Amino acid sequence: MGNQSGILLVEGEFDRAFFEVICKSIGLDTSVKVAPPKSLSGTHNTKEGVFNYSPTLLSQLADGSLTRLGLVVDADSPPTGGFATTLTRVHGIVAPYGYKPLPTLGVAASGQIYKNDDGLADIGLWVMPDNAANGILEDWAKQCLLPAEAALFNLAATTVAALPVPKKFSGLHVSKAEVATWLAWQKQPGHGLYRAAEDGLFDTGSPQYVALIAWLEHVFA
Amino acid sequence: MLNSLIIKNFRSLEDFQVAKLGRVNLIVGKNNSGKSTVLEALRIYAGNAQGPLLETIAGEHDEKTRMTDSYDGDPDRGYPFQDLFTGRRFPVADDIEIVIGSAEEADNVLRIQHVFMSEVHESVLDEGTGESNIRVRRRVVQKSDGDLDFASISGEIRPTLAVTKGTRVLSTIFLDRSGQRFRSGISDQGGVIPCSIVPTHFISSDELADGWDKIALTESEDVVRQALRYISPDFESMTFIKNEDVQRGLGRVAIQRSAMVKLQNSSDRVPLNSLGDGILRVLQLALKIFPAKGGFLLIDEFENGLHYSVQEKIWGLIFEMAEKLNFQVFATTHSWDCIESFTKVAIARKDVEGVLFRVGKSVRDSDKGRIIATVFDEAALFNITQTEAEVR
Repeated sequence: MGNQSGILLVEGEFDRAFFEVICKSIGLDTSVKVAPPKSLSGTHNTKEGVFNYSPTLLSQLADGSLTRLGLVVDADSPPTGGFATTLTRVHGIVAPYGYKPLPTLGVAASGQIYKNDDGLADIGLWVMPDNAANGILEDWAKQCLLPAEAALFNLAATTVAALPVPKKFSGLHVSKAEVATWLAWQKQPGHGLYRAAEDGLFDTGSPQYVALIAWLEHVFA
Repeated sequence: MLNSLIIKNFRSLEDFQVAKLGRVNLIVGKNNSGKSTVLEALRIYAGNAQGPLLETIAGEHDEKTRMTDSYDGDPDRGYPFQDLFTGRRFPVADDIEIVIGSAEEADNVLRIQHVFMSEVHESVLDEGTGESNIRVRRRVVQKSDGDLDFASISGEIRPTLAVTKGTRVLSTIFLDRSGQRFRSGISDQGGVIPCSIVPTHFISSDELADGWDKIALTESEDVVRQALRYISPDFESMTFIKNEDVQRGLGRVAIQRSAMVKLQNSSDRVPLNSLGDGILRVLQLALKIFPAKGGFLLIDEFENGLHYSVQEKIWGLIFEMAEKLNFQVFATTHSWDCIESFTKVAIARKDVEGVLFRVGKSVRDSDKGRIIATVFDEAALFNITQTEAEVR
């Protein structure tokens, strides 16, 4: 894996593609490997897979083979998920390695940083969408679209809401359906969120976008 | 078999622990990370730190193996085997000693302590014969005793290495006696564990010949032939012949016997040496398997001279034989190929546990650059083959 000595552990392949584009946009692509658990041969590409694989990576930090680590997961929603539950879970995973949560500074959306009590680099946790609300990556994306995309996106959202047949997806996944619909109406239909990032459809000045970049730079730069 | 490993105060390994070992263990790490030091510690453990073994090891590093006539100065320098201790100095405190073994088996933990021994020669009258005999009374002088004010202690004070395993005293190695080979006081020769070593360099043709003599015309020979065929499928048979050319040389004979090979479909015998490095390395590895029975097989830089495709076969052979002959394997590498081939075999051989551990400097502040081990058991190994994560 070349000179990459930092790993950004994400839930799945779609997230990988998206974060690879984001990392590249801020020059982190040479130092950060974006990886879902199965690409590191963890067992599952899921949030649980991220939690299960994290200890393997945390133990790599001690001798400097891995120098930086960030985790991105969806908050999802109660009863099994939710922001608070997710945060507590990760606190428990990193604690045995001497990592304590740093009280969040500034805006609530700035992402969780864990400080090590024994000189290891800070590690980071970003809970989608904004380290406060329940939800998923697509909820973050919705908050970061270019103003010029608002009309098309709103139409997509209205369409999803007005589906004349019973919805097959859960309430949590409404945003996913909305974003997928919006993506389906782009110049190159059928691609993931990564394509929106590549095509510059995000407002890089929007607060949530700025916060995510700041968090990535804190953890990896 | 060691199920875990602890090494303390030995060379660069001041406080080194491996929580879990398997039957076959691969040690990875950068150059100078301490991989070979782990092998050396195991060699000393197996050989009960006997004087001649320590001498051999010190000699391999061009370190002092005995007192010399020219020594007459700094009492801190100049004693043999100082270099074995962390910091290349004998520890000042009484309780700092070289420790090698498994934490769970206190009875088998080897300890090498640098102590001062006071020696008093007493004249004892034998009441039966009326003759007086000289009896030597020795006792350990704690370094903390009066700052070792030698003048206040009666008798001669001799620097010594005291070697114990569990509660057994194995040997007392005197380090003084200018110009002489050190002398062992007491030495328990029992309990030495077989230890077979494959060094990084090619071993001499004579040593190979000796190894071959021991297995020729036995079942073991079949194992070696099979191994040689991994490299040279048309290998048929081998013998060692006296090398006349060398004998006519300049008096001192360096090589006396060399290996000749018969290949299928060839009427001539050819020197093994002419078939390349790989086959020599495999011969060396294969011959070293048998003396490891019941003990350790230590392989420094497993991958030397071996193509990836061959490495996997050799690992297969080693896993097989380790189980069959009940020995434990420790091999070092810095090749990714080697890690991959090891992992494939470790995962395939469900009956034989393979463990990989990486040796490297801790980046934790509290460790102050201490060398630590990061263990990958078979479950974790499965991960790294896919990722090429930074195991190296």
